[in-house]
Amino acid sequence: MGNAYDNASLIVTPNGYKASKIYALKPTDGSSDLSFSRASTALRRNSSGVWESVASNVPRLNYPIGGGCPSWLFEPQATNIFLNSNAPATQAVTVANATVYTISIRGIGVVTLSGAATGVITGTNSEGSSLTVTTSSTSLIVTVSGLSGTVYVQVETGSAATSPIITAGSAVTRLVDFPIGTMVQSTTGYTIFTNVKTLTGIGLGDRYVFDISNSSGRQGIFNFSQTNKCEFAIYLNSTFVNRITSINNIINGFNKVALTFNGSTYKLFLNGVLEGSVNAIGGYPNAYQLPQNFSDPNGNILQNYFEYYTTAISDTEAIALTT
Amino acid sequence: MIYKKYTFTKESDFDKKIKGLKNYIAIPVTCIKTPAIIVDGKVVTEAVIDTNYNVDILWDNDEPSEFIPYQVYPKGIGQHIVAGWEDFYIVNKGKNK
Repeated sequence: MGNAYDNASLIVTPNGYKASKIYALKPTDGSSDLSFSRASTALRRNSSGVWESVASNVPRLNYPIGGGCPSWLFEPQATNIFLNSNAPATQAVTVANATVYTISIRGIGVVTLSGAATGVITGTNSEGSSLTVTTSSTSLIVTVSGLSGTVYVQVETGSAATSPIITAGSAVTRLVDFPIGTMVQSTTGYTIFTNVKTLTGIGLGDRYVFDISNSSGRQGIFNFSQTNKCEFAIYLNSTFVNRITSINNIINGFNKVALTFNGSTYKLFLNGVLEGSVNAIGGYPNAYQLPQNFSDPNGNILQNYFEYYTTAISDTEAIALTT
Repeated sequence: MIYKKYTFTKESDFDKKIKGLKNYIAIPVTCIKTPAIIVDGKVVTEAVIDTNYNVDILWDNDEPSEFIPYQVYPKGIGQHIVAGWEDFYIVNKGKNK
């Protein structure tokens, strides 16, 4: 196969960006750069490990705790209903009954829940700790104690803790990250490779990773399923055709996934293993969105690699790529 | 984009007005009329929620005229704001109120 850089027609890494744009590493002529929008500010963890505000329509490169390479942070819309979130004090939060919420703390401290839900969350660092609950009434008492240094507390709907949203005397919404890319269309076959981690972790609902499409509509959706499998749903011009599901589970971290299509057979590779194949007819995409999160509360991902090839690479090559 | 706040009597009233429109972001807002009363860490009286349908909208272009009668101007930024729009909302609220 040679190397990925030579053979891929499109490579996107956590690298160059500006407002409304994510630059592709390849091609270099700008034809496959991603457009990006987010109509609100948002926070990211910088290379010093400090959460900092990023302006509207600017993509977020998020760094791991302890240093290392950053990843793109793409998240769905979320609202923090915990007031004065970075100067947290005990308060009653009005919630909807019988609804799933995630409560999180980033920094050092303890959050104790009572009323609409019970539980204890201990924060030890800026990565944070969280607890997902289903409410049983409309008043959630959030008691904070043992705070030290900079601390963020968040109460949001859904089953995942998203990045901190700073509130004062009102609830605050961070709007969805909306990256859209273009690919050179091949009508003989293609390969997609990505290295991605869902922030929801494992065991919680469908987590959509990307959507591919062309002018005739959706041609596929890639997701991590409720049962922690890796799936690719095949569409032909927005009509569902078939699904290919991994045998092995995803891991609670970055997963290397490749999909190949040679015109008649789809093959799915996960972390170095050929997980399965199906014979099906699908459409050939020329656009993609990371993640596919139109209304998906779990569509939050860290992504540090995306490659697209205009051919179906061999099984051996795909296994090597995902190992 | 412009940022406005609205109150409708029912969600279905909002749905009728917004149907067919594009290029907007609407965020429903739960407004609290009376906070919960907590005594010794226990809820003795639940919060009273506003039964109206409250919604914040970011319009890509001008606000449709049929939405103007439903505009509201709560104190300050109200009980909800989109991150980064605080100053814009306050300034334009002053101009348009």
